Amino acid sequence: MNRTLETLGRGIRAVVWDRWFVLAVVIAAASGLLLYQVKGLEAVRAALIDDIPVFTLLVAFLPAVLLLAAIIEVMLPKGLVERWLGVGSGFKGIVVATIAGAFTPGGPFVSFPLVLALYRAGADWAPLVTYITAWSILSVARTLVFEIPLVGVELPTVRYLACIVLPPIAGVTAQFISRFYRAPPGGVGGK
Amino acid sequence: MIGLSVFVWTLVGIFLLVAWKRRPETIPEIFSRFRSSGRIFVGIVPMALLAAGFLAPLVPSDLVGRWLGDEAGVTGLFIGMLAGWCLPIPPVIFYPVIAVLLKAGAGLPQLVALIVAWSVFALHRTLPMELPLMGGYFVSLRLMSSIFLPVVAGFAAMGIVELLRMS
Repeated sequence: MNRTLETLGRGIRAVVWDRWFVLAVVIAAASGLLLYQVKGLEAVRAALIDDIPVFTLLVAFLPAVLLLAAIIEVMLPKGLVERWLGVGSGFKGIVVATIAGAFTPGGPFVSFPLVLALYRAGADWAPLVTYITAWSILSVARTLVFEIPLVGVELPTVRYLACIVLPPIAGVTAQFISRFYRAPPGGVGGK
Repeated sequence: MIGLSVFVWTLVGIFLLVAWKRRPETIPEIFSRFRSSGRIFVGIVPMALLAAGFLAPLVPSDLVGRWLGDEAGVTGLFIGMLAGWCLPIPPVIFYPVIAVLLKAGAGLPQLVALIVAWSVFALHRTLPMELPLMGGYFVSLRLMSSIFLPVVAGFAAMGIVELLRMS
């Protein structure tokens, strides 16, 4: 019991003493005060009531998504994506790259090293650019974690419908451009 | 929204069961990743949400409407794209801004152009991660291939919004 309390206390301290959290609290408090000054107490109350569904979502939905992302990240065999994309060029590579990019969880620390590994394994420009573009604009993890809780479902729906074909377009364009804009001799990649 | 939550939680249950059956040693790692990625959602994100809720009524909606609203039309797509390029900020800050703009009357296609421009250009990722790792050639090739995507996405979104309205 005592140990549980101690761990809990440490967790709370870790959250509260984070610089960015302090900054966020200050910004939230300042914007609340500003709203109160400009439009009065009623506006502040309306804004808080507006927030209730979003906070409900945050509590009910987000932990599940984060857990899911963690499970996939840990369980996914490391070589799987590389094998699929390493097949290289062609239509299949582009389709696989789009799907893999959209479902790659985690930040740039996951995706960019993966692209470098794929490049070294001999993948073509089209699937590489397709993959990074898909990861940038179709990232399912980012949508579930940030976009839906903050802006609702309508905007992401329209955005996915509008963007689903864009990564392949970027990939094919890159392949085309690379014909006359040649890679520097000696290869690509800093490290 | 309740349905979606139930669905995702069921999925989590199944996945956890599979993970526990197949490789029980991964369970602690799963939870430690969950804890580290969940931290900002206990602290920063709720505060960002609060701030976005407070600021939305203060943003002059006629201004947002004129620049990014439905009446801004195609010009609004280009304004959205420019705005997206100029916001090299991580998603924790970016999406509250989008929430404020949406509440203040920005149009969906214009916001689509903005989000796509932000996610493709993303200087906050490109400069510290992509450039050192992948080199200048890859970055320039990628940016050249995706420079027109925000506007294409905006036009597509306009069509989709029209279709949804009709149905």
